[in-house]
Amino acid sequence: MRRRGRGFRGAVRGKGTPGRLAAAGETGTRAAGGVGGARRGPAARPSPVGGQARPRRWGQHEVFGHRRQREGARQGRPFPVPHRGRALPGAPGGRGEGGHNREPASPRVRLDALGQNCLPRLPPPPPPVLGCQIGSCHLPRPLSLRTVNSSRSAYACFLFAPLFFQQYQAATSGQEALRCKILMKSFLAVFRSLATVEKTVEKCCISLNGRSSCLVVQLHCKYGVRKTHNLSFQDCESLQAVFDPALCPHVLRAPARVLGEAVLPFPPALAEVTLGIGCGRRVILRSYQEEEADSTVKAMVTEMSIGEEDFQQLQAQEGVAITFCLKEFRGLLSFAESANLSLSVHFDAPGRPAIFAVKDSLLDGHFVLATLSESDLHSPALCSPELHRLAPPLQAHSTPHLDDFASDDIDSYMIAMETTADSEGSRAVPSIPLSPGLRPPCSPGPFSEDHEAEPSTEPGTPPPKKFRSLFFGSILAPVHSPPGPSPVLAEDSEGEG
Amino acid sequence: MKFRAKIVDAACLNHFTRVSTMIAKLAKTCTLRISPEKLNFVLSDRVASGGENFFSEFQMEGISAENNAIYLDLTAENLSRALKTAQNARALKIKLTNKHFPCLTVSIELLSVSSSSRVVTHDIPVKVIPRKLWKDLQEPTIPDSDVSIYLPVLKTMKSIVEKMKNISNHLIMEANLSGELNLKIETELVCITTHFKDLGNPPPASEDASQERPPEQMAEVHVDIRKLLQFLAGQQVNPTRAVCNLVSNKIVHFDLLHEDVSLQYFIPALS
Repeated sequence: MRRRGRGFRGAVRGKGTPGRLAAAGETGTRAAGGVGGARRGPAARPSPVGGQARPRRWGQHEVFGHRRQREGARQGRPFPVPHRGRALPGAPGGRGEGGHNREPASPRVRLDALGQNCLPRLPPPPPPVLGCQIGSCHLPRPLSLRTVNSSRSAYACFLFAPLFFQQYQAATSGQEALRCKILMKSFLAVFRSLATVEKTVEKCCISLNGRSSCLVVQLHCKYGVRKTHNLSFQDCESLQAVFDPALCPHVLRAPARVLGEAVLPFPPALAEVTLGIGCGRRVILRSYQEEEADSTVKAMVTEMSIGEEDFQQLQAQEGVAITFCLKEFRGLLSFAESANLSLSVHFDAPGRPAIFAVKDSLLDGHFVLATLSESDLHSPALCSPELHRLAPPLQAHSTPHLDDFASDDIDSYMIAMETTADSEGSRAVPSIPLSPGLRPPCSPGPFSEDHEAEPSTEPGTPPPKKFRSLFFGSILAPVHSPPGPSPVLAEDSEGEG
Repeated sequence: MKFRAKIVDAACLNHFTRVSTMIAKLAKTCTLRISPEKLNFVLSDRVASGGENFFSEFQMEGISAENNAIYLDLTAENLSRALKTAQNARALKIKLTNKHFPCLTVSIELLSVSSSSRVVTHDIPVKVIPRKLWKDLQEPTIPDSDVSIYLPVLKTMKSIVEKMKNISNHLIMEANLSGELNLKIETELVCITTHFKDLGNPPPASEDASQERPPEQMAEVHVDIRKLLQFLAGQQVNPTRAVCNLVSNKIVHFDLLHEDVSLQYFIPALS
């Protein structure tokens, strides 16, 4: 039965035998063949790629995008088209039975064949700017790549819909979500030169080999060259963050190109930038310099002012402003620019994390960055002097979904946060570990009271950096609300990822 | 004390940017001397000055009527970086302001696809130099030179001097009035000389000077090669006119003219 022209659904439903969650198994007429499944399917058709005629050997649905046909649709939505791929067992890249026969009985998950032109869109997952050594990879569905930097002031999460891939297979449906931690440097080294990758790689297969604790990335290149990378991973606890863009009162959205041009004037070494709304509804980006007590040499201040018309959405009052780390923002920005997406910024009061989101039909990316709390804003107000606003009350969270990705809908989710390794079973509802204005020496007072001067800082010591540790507290017991997060006093880690 | 200037012409803007980039390559900090007719960049051994032709509007008010000039100390790189963002600018304004600290505010209005314009503002911190230090920063007098010669293409000279730098720090420059220039290094193991011929000499300032000196006689100066290289490295564009004046065993003086900008560079001889 030809399925030409049929697209994927977002939901991935397991059909047939365990061990195979075919990405497009929706019609059910073809049971996913088990090991040694029967030969089914139509007679061999000429493969559009190599002109070879190979019979289909396996029964499940696979939909392969075809490179040439997709090329035209690069910018738009690649519409997958079935094509008869290699079918011989043991053939390179052979899927299905062939593959299984080769490696029997390992808890093996296969995630096959990122489309050729999806590869360039693979984000530098996630940018090493975050200084984080670790990415965690959640399988089977949807694939997510997440990372957090060592000072926990920045978190990034990219979710890939199954549609992103030509083929997506998970392990047994009974198996729980697989997560692993991979050294970012090694993962990035595989895709090091994007230009070369675009030119030579036809297909990329990523699979998880539980037995040898390896993530196997195979790049099938032109001229029969195949590069296999075995990246060892570690098991890790789940890395999830509590955040909800819908809760943020202020939003601004613009094409990434506009924001890219906006950060161009800033020196590459600049650490922090203040984003806010100035007079006349202009969006202002200003370099933020920490004041040093005895600095004789002041640094240059750069300010960029963009009119409201350049933004697709601007929902914020004049005078609101947040200060966040520019380096991390640049990472997401460069990805969004290359993928030609819009970037939306959801933010709240200073001190509360700001959420930067890019969205596509195939992937969803979120960066959550800590912002400086108000008392640390030394820079002059952007417009009105009235930056002090009432603190949002510490609201209780509604019960978040405790499963990771209970819903297949990747649009909105509230994810429970847990960082303890042993609490697989008991997932507590954390209260918001966010209380801006919390400082180590002082008792946590209500926010509105101490946005003025610093608390007693000892003379001679530099004021502590107030980037908040956003949302990672440790949950000691399910019923206790966690103590306030230990505020992060260190600057974003600059360790190269 | 006031200073405001504006540039609207794209070509002038590019030129100004190039000058500031050149300055940034030459020295870390530079002093800006603002006087009613011109703007001078003063670096510790060298002076570059630009005329008023750059600016469509130029207003300044010095410290007082008698001393109608402003001397500012700033980090050259800041200015060069600020101007780099002015690649596609509609207009550029420079102002002396005081925002918590005295600074030179460079305000650039960018061309934008949409109707609203984008404005980039750079506040470059500056230090105002008190009047008593002004005398150190006057334009140096050009000494009477023994030999005056036109320079070869600066790029060629730079690549040669770069290679020589690896061998020795001590460079001997000699030139004569027949249009010959030699660059020599001498070490125990090797002697390298590069000869430039047919360079031409500018007409002498006074007639007697040329008659006294035999045209073949070389005037030589021993200089530190790194200083020469620093000067050559900062030259991106070939100047309209480049003259080298040598005072035997004393000083080498380079006099460059890039359209409206003149740059004087002095390298003292090694003792």
